[in-house]
Amino acid sequence: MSEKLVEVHGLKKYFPTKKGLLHAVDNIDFYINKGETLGLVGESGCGKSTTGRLLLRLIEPTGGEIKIEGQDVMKMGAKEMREFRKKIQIVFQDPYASLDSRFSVYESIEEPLRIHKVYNDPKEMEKRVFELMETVGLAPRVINSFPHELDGGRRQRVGIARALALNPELIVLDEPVSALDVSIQAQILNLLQNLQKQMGLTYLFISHNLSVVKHISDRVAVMYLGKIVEMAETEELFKNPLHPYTKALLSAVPTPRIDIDKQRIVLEGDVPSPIDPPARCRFYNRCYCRCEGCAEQDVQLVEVKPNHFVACMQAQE
Amino acid sequence: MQEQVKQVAAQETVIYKKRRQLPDIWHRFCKNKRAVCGLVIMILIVLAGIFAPVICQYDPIQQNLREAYQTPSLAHWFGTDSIGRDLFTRVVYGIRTSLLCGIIAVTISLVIGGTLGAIAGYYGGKVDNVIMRFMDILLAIPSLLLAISMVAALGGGMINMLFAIGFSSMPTYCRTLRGEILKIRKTDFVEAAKAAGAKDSWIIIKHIIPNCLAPIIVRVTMGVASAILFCASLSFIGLGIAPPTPEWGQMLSFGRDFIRTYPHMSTFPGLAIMVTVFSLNMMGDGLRDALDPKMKT
Repeated sequence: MSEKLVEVHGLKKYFPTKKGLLHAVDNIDFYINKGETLGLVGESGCGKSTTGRLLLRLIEPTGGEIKIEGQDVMKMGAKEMREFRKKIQIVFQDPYASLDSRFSVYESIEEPLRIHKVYNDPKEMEKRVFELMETVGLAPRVINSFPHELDGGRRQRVGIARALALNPELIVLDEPVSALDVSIQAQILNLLQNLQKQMGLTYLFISHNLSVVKHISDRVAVMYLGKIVEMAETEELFKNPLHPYTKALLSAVPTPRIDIDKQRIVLEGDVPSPIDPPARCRFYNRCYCRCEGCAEQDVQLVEVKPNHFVACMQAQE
Repeated sequence: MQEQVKQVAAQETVIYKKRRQLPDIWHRFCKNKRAVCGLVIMILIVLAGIFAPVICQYDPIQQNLREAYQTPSLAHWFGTDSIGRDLFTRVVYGIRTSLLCGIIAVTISLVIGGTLGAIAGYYGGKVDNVIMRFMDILLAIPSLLLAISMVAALGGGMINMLFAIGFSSMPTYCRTLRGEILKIRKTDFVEAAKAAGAKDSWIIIKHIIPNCLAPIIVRVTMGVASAILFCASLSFIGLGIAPPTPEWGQMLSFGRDFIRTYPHMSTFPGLAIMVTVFSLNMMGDGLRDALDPKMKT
């Protein structure tokens, strides 16, 4: 279980803007064990999706190191990278935009197989597509349909089937359920969990929905303004959050009970601009337990307990 | 009971069939009555143009002063002009000139403008900026004036006129294609193809081209209509196709001198222009709706 499939060190992505460098992802480290699900949470604009795309090199990182199965992804040439893409796939948030409206379901699922010329025999290809459709729970009769003829849940299933086509090791799930109805969300989440069990997949699950993340993840990483502020096993993180931001985040999750008197931590102020942020704790201006030391230097992610990392000076002490 | 089970099983075996989009598009197109009407008229016009020598018994160029200034009759359906040429014959032969001009002019602007637009959209950055500012300059000059001045500078004649028309209507194609490519390049499905390991050539051929084809087809259909108008306008002021060749705009201007006494001389070529442009535009409108797969069938 502890074999690391993905290791990321000092990953950075700065976007040049007119006002300066936008630190979308700033020096983050994390790892994902083989067969587990790492949930990546944070508010919108904190760099979660960028992180996912960086992992696939859909966006070129500014700096840092990504190792998948011990191979350095960053050093791969274009040809090698194309071959390596088989191992990492992505499922997008919006199933309406992620399928070409001119491709039928068959053509969409077949596309990755055709790109990599997996099958030469059209019969085998057809068999494989049917097989994939069955795996993701799509009725065979929709095979000739176009995306606009399907509902959101089915489209997302097509997206998942595409991602599975090449037997990947790692799937980046970029908010795969946030565009769907709640009832369909549950179906898709269960499907994802079953697939993981059957195929031993590893997931990076990006979401802003804490309940969903709690449900599906083995470990959770919390992002704030381009940095990972806390990373721990799900149970540990939800029971014993150390970073003030995580605490505030968790206190905002609605609980369907009225007998518990919950203390909601309300943060003041807005998320500061990610353009050229000062070298101090990113959370400094909104933190409710800051001290003088916090403003002086950037905080590093430190392992305070086994498998519990936190980037807060107070908590580290 | 067993039979029922068998039936259900038979229904469940679905075979993948390559589903072509053409039948769907045709179905959607047929639902639009105006578009079908435009298509039928266009087919008739094209057929008339092709079989002009069969339809007409007169020569479009031969003068026959004895028959000059005739109003419409059974012998001359559209009457004759001041030097006795049968107007119906000339209008029918004019289809050849007009359609040819329209198509060639549009091809020229599509090839030049479209290529520039595609480059601008795909590469972006400075290249995009240079190309688009150039197009903005072209757009700032009224296109008819631009075409007139180009013909005036290059000299008259069909080829020069076609280039002038093609060049001055280039910005629209450039903008359309650039916009489409910019839009498609950023979509998730292109990103998904990239994540699946697709090469640039795959993405361009499989995703970008099919997805910008529809707006281009629509633009071209309507573009042919406006090129025909352009051509007629230039010929009307004597900068386009030289007199003996039958051309609608030029016939219109020829009949202008007699408009009070013999209005038919300019009415029929004018009607021909109108009907052609009108049906092309109706067709284009219908195509736009039909080519979008998201439209409900």
